[in-house]
Amino acid sequence: MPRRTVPGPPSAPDVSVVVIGYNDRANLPNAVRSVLDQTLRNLEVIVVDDCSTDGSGEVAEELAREDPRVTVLRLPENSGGCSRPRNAGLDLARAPFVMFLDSDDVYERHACKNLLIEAERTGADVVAGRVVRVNLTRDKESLWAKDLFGARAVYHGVRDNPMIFFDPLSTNKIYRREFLDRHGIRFPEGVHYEDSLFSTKVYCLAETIAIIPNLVYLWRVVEDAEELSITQRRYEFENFRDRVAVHRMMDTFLREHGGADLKVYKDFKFVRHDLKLYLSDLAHRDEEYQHKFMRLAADYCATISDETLAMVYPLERICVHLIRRLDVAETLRTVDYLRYGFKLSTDLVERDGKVYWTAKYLDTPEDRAVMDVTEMGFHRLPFSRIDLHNQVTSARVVGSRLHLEGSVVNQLGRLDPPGKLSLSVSLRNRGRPSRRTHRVDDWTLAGNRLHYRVVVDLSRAVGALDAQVPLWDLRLEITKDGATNVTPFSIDPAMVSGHPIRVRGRLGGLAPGYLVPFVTPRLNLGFQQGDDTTVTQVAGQANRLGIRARMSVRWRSSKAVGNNPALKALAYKAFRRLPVKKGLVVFESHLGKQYSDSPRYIYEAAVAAGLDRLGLDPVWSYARRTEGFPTDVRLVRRESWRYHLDLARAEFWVDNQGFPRVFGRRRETTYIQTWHGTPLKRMGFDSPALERASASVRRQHKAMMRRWSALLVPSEYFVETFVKSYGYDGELVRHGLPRNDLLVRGVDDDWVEAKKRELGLPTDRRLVLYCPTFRDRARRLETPYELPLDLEQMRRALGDDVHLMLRTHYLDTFRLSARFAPFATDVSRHHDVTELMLIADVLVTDYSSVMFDFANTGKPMVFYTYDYEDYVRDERGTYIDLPDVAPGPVVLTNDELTAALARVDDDVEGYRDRYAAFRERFCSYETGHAAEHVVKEFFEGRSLDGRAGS
Amino acid sequence: MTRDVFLVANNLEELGGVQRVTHNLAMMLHERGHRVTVIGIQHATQPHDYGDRPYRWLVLNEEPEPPMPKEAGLRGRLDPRVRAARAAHLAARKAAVGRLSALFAEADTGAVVCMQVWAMAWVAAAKTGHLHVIGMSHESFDATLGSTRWERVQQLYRDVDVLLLLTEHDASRFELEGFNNVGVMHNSLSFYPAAASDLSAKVVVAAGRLASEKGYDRLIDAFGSIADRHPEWVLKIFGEGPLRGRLEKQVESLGLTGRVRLPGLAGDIETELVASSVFALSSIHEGLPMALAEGMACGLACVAFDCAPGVREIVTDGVDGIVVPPRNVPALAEGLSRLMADEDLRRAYGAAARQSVRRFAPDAVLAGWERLFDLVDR
Repeated sequence: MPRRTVPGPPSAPDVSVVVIGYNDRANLPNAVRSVLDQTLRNLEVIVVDDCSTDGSGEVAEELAREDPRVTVLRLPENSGGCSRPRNAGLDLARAPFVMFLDSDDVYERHACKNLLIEAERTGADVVAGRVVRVNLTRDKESLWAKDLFGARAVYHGVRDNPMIFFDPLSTNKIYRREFLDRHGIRFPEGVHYEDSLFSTKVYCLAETIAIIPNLVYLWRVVEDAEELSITQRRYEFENFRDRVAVHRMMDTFLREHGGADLKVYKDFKFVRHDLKLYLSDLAHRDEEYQHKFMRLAADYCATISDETLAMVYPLERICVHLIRRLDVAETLRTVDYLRYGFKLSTDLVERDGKVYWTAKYLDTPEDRAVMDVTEMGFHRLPFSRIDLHNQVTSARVVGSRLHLEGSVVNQLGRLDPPGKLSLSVSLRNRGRPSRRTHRVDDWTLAGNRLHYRVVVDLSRAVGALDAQVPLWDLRLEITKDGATNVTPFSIDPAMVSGHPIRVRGRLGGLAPGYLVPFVTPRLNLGFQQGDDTTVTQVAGQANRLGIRARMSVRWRSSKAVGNNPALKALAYKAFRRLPVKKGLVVFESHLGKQYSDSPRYIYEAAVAAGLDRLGLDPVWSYARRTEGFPTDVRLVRRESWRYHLDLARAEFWVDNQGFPRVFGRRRETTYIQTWHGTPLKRMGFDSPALERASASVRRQHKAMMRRWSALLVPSEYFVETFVKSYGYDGELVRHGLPRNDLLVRGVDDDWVEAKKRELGLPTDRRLVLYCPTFRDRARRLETPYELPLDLEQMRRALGDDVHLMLRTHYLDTFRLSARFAPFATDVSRHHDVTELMLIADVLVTDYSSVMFDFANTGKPMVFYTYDYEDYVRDERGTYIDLPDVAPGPVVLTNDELTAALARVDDDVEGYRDRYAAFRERFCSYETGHAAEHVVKEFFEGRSLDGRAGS
Repeated sequence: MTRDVFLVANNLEELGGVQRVTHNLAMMLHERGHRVTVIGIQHATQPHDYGDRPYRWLVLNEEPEPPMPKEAGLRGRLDPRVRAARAAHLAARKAAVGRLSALFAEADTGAVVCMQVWAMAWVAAAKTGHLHVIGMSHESFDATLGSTRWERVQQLYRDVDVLLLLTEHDASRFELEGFNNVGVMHNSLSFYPAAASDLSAKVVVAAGRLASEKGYDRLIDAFGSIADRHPEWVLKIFGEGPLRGRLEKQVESLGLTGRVRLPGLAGDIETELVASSVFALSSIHEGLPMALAEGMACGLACVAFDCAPGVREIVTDGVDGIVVPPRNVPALAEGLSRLMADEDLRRAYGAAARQSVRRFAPDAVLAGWERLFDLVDR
């Protein structure tokens, strides 16, 4: 939209915006324009130039000439900070409300109006809005302090939500001028981190604080390219000292203004956020520096109360205690955990049935209480999942050979005999799943360390450089008793020079190729491809490419030469004129994503009955990866040329979702449709999408259905809903679903035990499978999927007895923090959910059709329907009312879920009748032999010339 | 303070909800003294006669715009016919946008209110000068999200002065999606009768297009299932539409001839509503169902499917009406039966309903628009 012209300077502006800048002439106009372009036009802008020497002052005056709403104030002397300019601007401000902005940031277009309206509506002294942190180096955006800005809120004093202390910014807020003047609140001059002190004063004294969820401020951050360089480090101590000084000032202020109780929350932020930023530098300093630093930190940590320490994570608590003891080495190990990806570089020690963070400082019961990390469950992790910290002690490059020496922490004696160890080194390109490994023979196990020496010929290790993704990760793989632990190479950045290493290039080695070593943000060793003229790449930039790696793999496959879908569709029509290949069966599950579900079980039943005897030639379709598919059957890539050929000539098609529309079924082919779930939500022509759709779309749907020769059904309910709603009038096979056969018949304990071990799951706890359904409405929205479980709370309440298996719908992805490894496992990518149901003891779901499958086992279920209102009220509506039929408790909150899981055994009796009725209604046709039935009905007794029964 | 107000929609001639609302709003603003111009981007294929209107009414494209040819890609770009068609489309669009800009340029101060997403493409391309731009959505967030309009809404509506939704719920949904300019504006009732129904007539009434989204088949089923319990009551469904034949057959096959009537379009819907006692909303989808509000304005007790946030924006279950789960025929029947049996309940709900929909009365809605204009002027 074009900028509107403005009718003259405002006589009574609604908001004054103070924009400050120093030597930032490139960005200043953007900041000012983002204010002038606001939908709130009745504002004034006061640009305060802190005596710049780069012409910023002139730039500001030019802006004032363009728009009469702008006033410029040029300070006669540079103040060295933000406070003096802001205060000076504040003095000139005429409006009843005031906002602040820095020259290198911008406002969102509606920010001023949204903040102003909320301030007027609520009478608040201060209103804060959402912030997005834009990392210009990594090309990433992230929501900052997002828990605070989830919803509109009005607080009558900061005690209503003390977590507000986590937002110390002054640039995402609007302040009532009269409030600031009444209390004499101004930015403290001569002090760094003035925002924190200013905000503390505001929070302490404000009677009403409002929050709006709207984005108001874009905080642009350029990561220093030389983040780990020496020059940067020089100022770390001064920065830390200033931060501590400001905290002391905040403490004094709180004490003097009736806010002494608020220090607890203010300190929470200090421990959670501020402290860690400065500790990582310590490793590279001399003793004198370290001592000075720790002294300063310990002095301040002495003022932190036990109340604050009870609020933080166990490791943060331990960190503070170690600082108080002035123990540099131990403190740094907590930093490894807290800052660098939960690395266990410490030596955990087991004593009297408990696990402690370190063997030192266990003298008194109070000390032991602090160091006790038993509940974190490290000792319960299977071999493949425990962190075996690997630190490189020496690294040298000779030609293209990398010489590494290092040691691995023998955590809790996991590397001890019995069980033979074998080591290898692997190098993997981030864009590819495969990797090359090389055995490591030169190693010794001595007490609590495994020392190794390895030489990696990078030229050979790499193979071919990758055209798309230039990042490589180096890993140490330790195998013991069939289980493998994979650990990165942690390395001191000082050891990494960044000199390119010559390797074989692309084009069969004709072009020169180089690998440049670099250090990841988690301080692990990695390599980046480069050419002759490449400057040393640094961690931040490399990771930016890492993010693109995922995208590039997809891009690559779709743009490959000779991949024209239209051409293939034409070819398919031609292929169909070829004679049918007797016995050829094409199996597909979930569009080739997995080897799973009913197609799998039909295939396995056919194998058991004898493929040769039946005269069958099976082939499995896969979409992208072949992991998880059997190795002894022919695989065909979905939508490849061969796929078209196979489908054209097959005698049978077996799948659970529907082959692509372009594949019309020929008369001689029998298409067995197993479908993949019993519907809860209205589907087919009952669903609004199809109800409203044009006639041609409806015709297309009907045509797709008519391709099916036979549809397997698990219950009459399925017939009433799915079959009716799609208007399918072909053959129905009322014998249950092959995928549920094992659920009906059960499996023996040995199988369960072995499967648990295969998946790295504990065998001494109840396994709870959390399997929510896909959230329809989230599909097209910007908001990423968030697990609706408070894992921390659940772990505390249930961790002794329960281990969670988390399986989100394959279209929702989330990241499970390594912190929860002992309590929860992400099994979302496990290819067959039936296996998970067989080993689970309890199922937690909401509206997923897994409930109908799981009911065949008779095991308890809990329904966690935290968004039930929204789910049923959306356009689609449901066929049944879940609370009416649920064979287990229906809970709405995380707390209720935890409680229900705690008493799941007690509830079984009470739900017995409902469970039986549920099975009767939704599993009525399940026999436990559905797969065999299909084999008998369709594959056996075909006439010799291969003509199918239908 | 009077203003120039432009109301823009795809076309202003069809007999549809958006058109009625736009003309209604135009009339209200005009009577208030604002300088109103109503602009349809093109003519409708089946125009309805809205009669003479006292405000300016234009159609931007007298002839339908030559369409953008579909053959993109290399082959298309080389084909001279395709190139010509493309050029013709672009030229026509440019000219139309120019005409629109010229209209806006005549204005002094005020706003452009764009009622539909397709029309917004023109408004966005035009020069709006001093005028504020307000987008107004007449469907629920979910309906937009599930449609092809979603991408365009994302592109075109984040930067307008205000995006108006019909309900608080929908405004929150958009806000959560990062739209920082949302607001709520109700449509106004076209009438607010001087006297309410006396609730003596044993008539259940519904009014709307005889099309599938109004769910009248379910209403007939529901009424049929309780018809015997209330032998003196009848159901009247006013309106016309493609499903007339099917609905009549359904009435016959259920043996409800005479009990369920389909009298066609009401000559004066206000009179018909006042002559009834219970209003039923059986729709499958709705935006903000003004028919329901009209029924309530007449003092009727109502039962409604909870099929959209707009329903709860108008009626509150247990306070001024009955709200039942969507598509649930037994629940609808139950609700109807309760109101048909209990006269005291009918009166209580009816009276509460008449009060609560005052906020949809023309003067209340007009005041809302004035406040909005003041707000965007700040």
